[in-house]
Amino acid sequence: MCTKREARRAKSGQGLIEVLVGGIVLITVGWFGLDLAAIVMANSTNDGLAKSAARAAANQVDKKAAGEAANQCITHFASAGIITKVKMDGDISYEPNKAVAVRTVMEVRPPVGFPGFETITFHAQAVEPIVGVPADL
Amino acid sequence: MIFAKTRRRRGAALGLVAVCGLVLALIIFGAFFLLLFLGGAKETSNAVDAGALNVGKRSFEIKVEAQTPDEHQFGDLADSQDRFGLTNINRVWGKALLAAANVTAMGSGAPSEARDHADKLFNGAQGISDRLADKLTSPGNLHDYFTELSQQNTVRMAGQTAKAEVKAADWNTSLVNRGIETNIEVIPEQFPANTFDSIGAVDKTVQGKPLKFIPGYKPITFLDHHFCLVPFKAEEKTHLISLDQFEKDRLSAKPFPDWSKPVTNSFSCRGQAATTGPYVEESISCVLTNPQRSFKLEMPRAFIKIKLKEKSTAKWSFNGIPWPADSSYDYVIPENSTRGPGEAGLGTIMGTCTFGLEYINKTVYGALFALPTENYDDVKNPLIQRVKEIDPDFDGDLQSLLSFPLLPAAADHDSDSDNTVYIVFKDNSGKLKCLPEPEAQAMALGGSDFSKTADGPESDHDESPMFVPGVPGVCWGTPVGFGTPKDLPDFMLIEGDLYWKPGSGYDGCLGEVRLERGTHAYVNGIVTFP
Repeated sequence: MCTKREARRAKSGQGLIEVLVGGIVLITVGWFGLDLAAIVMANSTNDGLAKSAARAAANQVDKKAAGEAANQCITHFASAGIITKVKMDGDISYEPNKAVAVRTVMEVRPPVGFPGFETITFHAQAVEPIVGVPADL
Repeated sequence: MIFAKTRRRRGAALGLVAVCGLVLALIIFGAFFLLLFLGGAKETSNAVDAGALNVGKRSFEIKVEAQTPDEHQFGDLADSQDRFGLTNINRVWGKALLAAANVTAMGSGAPSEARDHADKLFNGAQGISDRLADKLTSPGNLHDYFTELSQQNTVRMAGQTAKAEVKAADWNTSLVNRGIETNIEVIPEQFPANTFDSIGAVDKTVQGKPLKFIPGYKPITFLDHHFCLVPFKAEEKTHLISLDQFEKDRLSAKPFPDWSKPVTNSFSCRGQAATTGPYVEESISCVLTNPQRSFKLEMPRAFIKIKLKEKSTAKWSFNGIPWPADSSYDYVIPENSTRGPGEAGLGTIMGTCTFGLEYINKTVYGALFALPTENYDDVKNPLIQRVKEIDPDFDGDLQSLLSFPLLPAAADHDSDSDNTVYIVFKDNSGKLKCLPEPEAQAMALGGSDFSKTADGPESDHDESPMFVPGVPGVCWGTPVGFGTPKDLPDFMLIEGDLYWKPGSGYDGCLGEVRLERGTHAYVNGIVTFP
């Protein structure tokens, strides 16, 4: 039979433990969600950057100018706090009078770094038709 | 009782945490898939943009060929494969327009043949244009261009195996930028008198130079025909435009009754990324094309004929009495001849004159415009205008252009037995030249036939006679007889006719200049009583 004193001792501390445990779970899940959102948005940003660079390259008249335009677009990219590095991945692929492909690589530090996932690297590629060259006669 | 109450309250917070955690996880995963969906939509849009741009870029590869003889009149404006596409269709319409302006300037005296030729050129241009318009408005001709680029862009966020492909609905065309410049540059001096204003040329500064262009999607009317060209903004590349701009210029929203089958300059392309899931990502992009090439209005294979009568005519009069027999003289070699005897009072008179002295400058130009006292503007001006139709960069220096040395009659090897024919044309290297017809035919751009003639009304520039006093060595008389010979003033009158016959440009002939000139020698003298 439980006495009143025993009942009070059982109440005190138990709630705290439950809140702590619950909090740990909820916060962990929340952090995970935050990282997921950051990852998805960073991927989308990288895709957009690759497209902008490819579009800039496609408006030029030759491969040299196309490479410079793509590079300029990437170096002028205003990155947010979680993006630690962004650069062109290799050289552009240039098919004269046809299309140009630009690859970008972006390193992202998620807001909450889980062990083994402190930095995540994203690759993107965009292909655009070369419109900077006049039509054939 | 207390124990039972305590047992029920223990673990309630954990349950709440579990439920909250589950709800939070569901929210997070829901948001994740929403972000994936939105990301997929963005990727699809990017892929469709790339596909649409490629459609705009490669639409210039859609071409047609000339089929009828009237369409082959535009062979001088075809591309390197003898075909016509968006790049050069405006050149075709420009030539037909210029020919119509040529006939309009002939006025009410235009022969029916000239009018008929202008109609044929219009119909020829329209035939080529209509077939091109049909090809450009058939979406099936464009789908491959779309997928060539759209499928090189990833749409993984829409689905692991998803690819951006054509969605056949909503592939339309539009007539964007109505009234702005085309890619045909014009100068007022290459249009016949009182016709340039009808063009409504657009002024535009390109690379610092003020230029004029024929306007696009704006009817220009000559001879009851509406000539319409396709606008392409100067210094602009093929690029995407908003759906709003595209839709408001579609034929369904803004009809264009003056052009039954307008050639389009913009396309809308709808694509989709089909996924294995229940949803499909779709996007539509609109592209405005531009060949980034401009041309000067011209008829590069056209030509002008200059016909000089093989020999000039020499007439004689002795004391006012015409000598019955004419003779002739060359342009190149002055001819010294003697005629007579004519009646001279109590005796007779012989005349001796040197003919051909008016041809000081022994070139085609010198032969045509030989008399320094004459104003030849009514022949020179239309001649210069027509040369500018062949080559818009001609600087107006007729003397340099027509500097070919005159041929002696014996060296004339053309088919015209009455005239020596010279041709003003562009040779294989694109340079303006004036050469005798056989040499010209050998050097001309392919397809030129210099046997064709002008179709307009001929006008006569009647030269005022140029007085040349008779002096020994030029023209003098020698009266002889039993009595006192007395030489009276002798003189020559040099005059001729310069005929100008404009051409529409059909079959290439833009005009003919024809010269007939001669000299009348008046030899005077008398023999009186001793």
